Amino acid sequence: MPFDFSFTKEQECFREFVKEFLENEVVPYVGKYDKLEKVPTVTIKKLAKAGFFGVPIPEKYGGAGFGEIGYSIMLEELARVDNAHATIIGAHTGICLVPIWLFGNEEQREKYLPSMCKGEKIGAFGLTEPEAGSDAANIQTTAEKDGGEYVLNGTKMFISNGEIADVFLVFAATNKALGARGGITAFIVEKDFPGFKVGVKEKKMGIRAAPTNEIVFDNCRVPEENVLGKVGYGFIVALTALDGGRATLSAGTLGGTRWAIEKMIEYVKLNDKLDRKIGDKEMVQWFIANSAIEYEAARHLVYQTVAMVEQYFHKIANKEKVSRAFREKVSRYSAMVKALSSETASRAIERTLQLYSSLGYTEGLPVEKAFRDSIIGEIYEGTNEIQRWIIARDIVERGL
Amino acid sequence: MREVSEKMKVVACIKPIYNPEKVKVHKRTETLLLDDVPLTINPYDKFVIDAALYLQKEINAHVIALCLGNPEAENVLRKALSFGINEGVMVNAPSLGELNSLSQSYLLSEAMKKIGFDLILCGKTSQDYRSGLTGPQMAELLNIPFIPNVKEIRIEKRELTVKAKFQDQIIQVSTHLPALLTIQENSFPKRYQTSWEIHKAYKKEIKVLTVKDLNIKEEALREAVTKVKKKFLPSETKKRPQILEGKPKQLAHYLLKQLEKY
Ligand SMILES: Cc1cc2nc3c(=O)[nH]c(=O)nc-3n(C[C@H](O)[C@H](O)[C@H](O)COP(=O)(O)OP(=O)(O)OC[C@H]3O[C@@H](n4cnc5c(N)ncnc54)[C@H](O)[C@@H]3O)c2cc1C
Repeated sequence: MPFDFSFTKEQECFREFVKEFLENEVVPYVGKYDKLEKVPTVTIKKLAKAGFFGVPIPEKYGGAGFGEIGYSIMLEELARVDNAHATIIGAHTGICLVPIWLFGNEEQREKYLPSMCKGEKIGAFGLTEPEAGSDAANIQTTAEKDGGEYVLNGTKMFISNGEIADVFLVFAATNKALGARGGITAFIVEKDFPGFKVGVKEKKMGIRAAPTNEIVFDNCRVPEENVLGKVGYGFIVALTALDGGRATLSAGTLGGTRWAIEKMIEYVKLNDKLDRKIGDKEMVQWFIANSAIEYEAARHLVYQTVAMVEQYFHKIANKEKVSRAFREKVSRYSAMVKALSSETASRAIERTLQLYSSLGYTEGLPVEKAFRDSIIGEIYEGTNEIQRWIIARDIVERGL
Repeated sequence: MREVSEKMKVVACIKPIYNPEKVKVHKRTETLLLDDVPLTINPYDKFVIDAALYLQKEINAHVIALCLGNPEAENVLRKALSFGINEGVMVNAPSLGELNSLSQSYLLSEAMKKIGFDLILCGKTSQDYRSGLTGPQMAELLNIPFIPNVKEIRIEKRELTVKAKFQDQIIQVSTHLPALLTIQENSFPKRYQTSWEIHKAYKKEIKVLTVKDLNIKEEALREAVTKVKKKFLPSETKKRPQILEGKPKQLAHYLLKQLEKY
């Protein structure tokens, strides 16, 4: 049934659980940790125990077995209550845990996945460098073979979970001359490997409870068996991880949009009670209606894309052949929903702020926080300009 | 590890009810609009799940959730399983219409005989009809001791000692197994599901019993005799919030006056 977008009973039950759990166990802490700009260790422990850190991974490796759709449901609900929490779990799951499952050999999967799924070990993704943001292929960090080990040198920046992660998926140049096509390799780096250091923590306008750090490799020695995928295959690992990351991140931003719409409704109803019928005003109706239209459109495309990613990942994990056309379709759609959903959220939250006016602009109230938290969706995992570049390039080549 | 058969068998009765949060009332006719309203676990039975899982942990009991309802109620049973219950049994009675509560208890008690039990746990009542009859009726039909409003459970060998709420007091009662208890709200540690358990619950095989599988005299089953004459909501209070203006001192004085009225 290609046009049936409904969720299964199991997925609905899972969403209900996630919602209730977050409402009781996470929401009460959100404001506090944002204000303190501290990692919410209390809630992270609870979330780990309840199984939030291994949602998409098959049970065989200690995951919950919910696939990308279930994971997206979780991220949607999580980002609805706090984008910092969603970033912590998203960086861990979407772009570290999942690629280890996708590209890892059995030993790597068995070594890393179970403890990461339990949240005993937290993951991070290290691609960005001072000279390699949007231009990710321009990686300067090097990895030189030395006996049975690789020696990494360089600095990564803006790494989510940097200071709390135990396992890093790191991309380094094994052959600079080859660049992205064969010159970059993915490594699984543990925080205790000699020569690994966590650097400064960034101060940020939003998602303040989610730590973002520099990480430094100073002759960091990584055993050869920690190469993820093949040597020289790292850029494909990164792009595949980001395909999934972008699609599922979009489910997160969908949660942000829903929150904003709910807040607008709440405000209109409250004013109704106070006999200030602002819900009758055309401009206010436009705010709500437009966000609702954009939300529904985004929701359908996000979950359609996530379902596609789920199929795609299933094939990769089983080492099945994937056609180039399918791979590029997944990349294009992931890029589309990343841009669409994050901008929908930003717009909805901006409208909410405008509607709440002074109460929206007041620090310490939820709308102001949501506004600061929402913008990151347009930046990380590839800026929305880069998403458009991917989309246009693909469409010009192959049509819609 | 002991064999399943050696473990204490605790059966938790789970009633599916229309999710009260999703039920809407027709504005004019004041009838309940139940189309598309999903079934959910009777909130009082959530405390039963907590109690059953407490016994699973404390005495390594094998916990079975038992649910009577139409096939749609299977989802409710699965949700119950997702809290960590070992096994699920569904008694399907789709063709029988709305049974009266004694007939429901009769069906459930026959199902109990079929699956076997050491201890049966029921909710105090259900949030839809609030009759609170199922537990005591079942105990009577099975001819086993019944203790309501239980807050604490201790089991040693076949001896059962419980603390239960009795009017304003807590009483201690001892009896022997098998027995049937209803569970007082918020008495046992609240259990959450986990993502792992939810996924497992939806893969578990559920045992389905129909009337044919049970030793039931169909002529003994009766339709509900209660006839609903009128359904209505408590009238909404039309109070509006007031916005007070004035000097803080005057306002405080005014508020104090208002409070004194209560
Ligand atoms: C809070 C936070 C968390 C992050 N977490 C991680 C993480 O966990 N791991 C990780 O590896 N990275 C992470 N990043 C890095 C993030 O992915 C990069 O910031 C992002 O890819 C942009 O790179 P840049 O900041 O260097 O900007 P630049 O690449 O310098 O871009 C500057 C501007 O130019 C535009 N631009 C650049 N190239 C093009 C082009 N070809 N076409 C059109 N426009 C272009 C960009 O869109 C942008 O507007 C994080 C960043 C932040 C802020």
